[in-house]
Amino acid sequence: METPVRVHEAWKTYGTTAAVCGLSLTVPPESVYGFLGPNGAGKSTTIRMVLGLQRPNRGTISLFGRPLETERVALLRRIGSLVESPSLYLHLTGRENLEVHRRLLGLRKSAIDEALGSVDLIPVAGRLVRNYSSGMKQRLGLAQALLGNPELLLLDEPTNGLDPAGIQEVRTLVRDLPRRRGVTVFLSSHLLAEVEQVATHLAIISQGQLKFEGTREELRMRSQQTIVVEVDQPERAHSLLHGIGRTATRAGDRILIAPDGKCGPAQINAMLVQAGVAVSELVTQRLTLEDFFLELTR
Amino acid sequence: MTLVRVLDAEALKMKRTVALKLVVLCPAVVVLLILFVTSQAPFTTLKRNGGENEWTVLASLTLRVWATLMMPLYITLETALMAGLDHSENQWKSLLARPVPRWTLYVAKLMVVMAMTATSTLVLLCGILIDGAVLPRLRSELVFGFPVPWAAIFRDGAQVVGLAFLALTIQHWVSLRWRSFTVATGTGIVAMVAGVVAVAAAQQTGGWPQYFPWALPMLVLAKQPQHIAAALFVSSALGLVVAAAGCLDFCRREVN
Repeated sequence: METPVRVHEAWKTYGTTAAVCGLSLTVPPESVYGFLGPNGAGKSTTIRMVLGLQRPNRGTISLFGRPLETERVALLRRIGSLVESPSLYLHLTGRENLEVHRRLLGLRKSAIDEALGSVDLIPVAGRLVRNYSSGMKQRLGLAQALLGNPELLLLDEPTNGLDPAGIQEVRTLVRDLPRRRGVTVFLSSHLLAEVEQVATHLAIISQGQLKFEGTREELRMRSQQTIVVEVDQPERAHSLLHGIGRTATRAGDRILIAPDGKCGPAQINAMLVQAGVAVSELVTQRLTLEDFFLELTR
Repeated sequence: MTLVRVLDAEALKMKRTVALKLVVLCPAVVVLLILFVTSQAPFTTLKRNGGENEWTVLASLTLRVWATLMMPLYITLETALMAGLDHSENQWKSLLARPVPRWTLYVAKLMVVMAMTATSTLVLLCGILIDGAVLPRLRSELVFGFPVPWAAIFRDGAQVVGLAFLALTIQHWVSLRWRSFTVATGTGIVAMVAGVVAVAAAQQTGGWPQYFPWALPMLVLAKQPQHIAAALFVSSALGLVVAAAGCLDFCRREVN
């Protein structure tokens, strides 16, 4: 199966400011690819380059195994997108907004109802968009992106402006798209918890550079498990742990121990007790994606 | 086929817009203005032209106001409003991510504005007929005989539209190049004033001032066929060059 998105060593600069620095990404087919980064990390620039709205200064972008630079029009036929806030004609109705894009795509009329139905907007499709709430506008933007059943969906902050129920709907929609329609979803967001819930693959970008790319499981493996021990003799415990080559940090009566993959909590507990150190508490803390994200992007 | 699809989409975008209403409103204002002016003594000019056909005089007067004042403003407004439809809400990031060649978006919009200008001029010509029917009721000494010299009136109207092509392509480029409505309208208004000055200068000295893009439509009223033929060539040729340059610029533009 063709790789939906492959970015290779892409650079994008604005004057002397580099927005994207040698970025390489590979989005697997039928995945929900979470693209994370703080504000100004280069997420939107990357999405714009993938859509052909901006050209990289260096590097290449290919979609479905074909070069974007030379086959832009044919490739865009396979892509739906929602970049930042939805672009809507406020003086037209919801249905008319989709009709503009249907005409551009040359689709059959029924495609509009399919797209409206997928975001539950059919009852208000005849209302002028200027009278829509922000949540309805966001859903119409999603319908616009889904028009024509794209194989790749690029969504930039798709839950912006949605209420909790709307967020839940979008989350379900995004999660189900690969399974139901074979769609690959490229989901950019700063809402880490949001992405963690739906993404099968994740990439973390900071200052235009890729910090992590892999599956959610790989990320979990990478997320460090910190062992926290509370003891009666913290000084002695600290020395003992250093003696066996463990990275340990003292925090009052507590010692924070970084994992090494060989010696787990049970072995540490046994060693300390055998050395005469009383262990009153021993817990394993897994870093959340947010902690890991902050660690990488710091 | 793609261009037809894009034109189809452009047509839908115009629904409920001020741009669409202006197609009738702007020529209607000129028609009403001419009706008012020609019905008021001592401003009546029709009778002064004695031997000439009243219809031709009325058409000339109407087209003069249209070509000198209203049409440059109309083109400025229409190009700015049509571009504004896609500048607002940054529609470009959505439109340019669609599988249509970028040039079709530029050309379709240009074609729509050209069609709107032609339609407005047609409305204006129909207005001349209305003025001709109403004026004798207001001033009994005015007599509009039949048949109406439609061939000459339509020829003049078509020439005015043809000569506006260069100014229209420049305004279209400016309107799409800069998001600001002020830049587009400011350019148009300054150019319109410069056009009036150019015509005044051309009346004194002739020569190049009459070929200033915004002054070109006014040449029709000079009734100098050799100049009109040359001006039509200049307007068409340079208009195509400007349209091609603007289209190239649009195709290379990056969307932020």
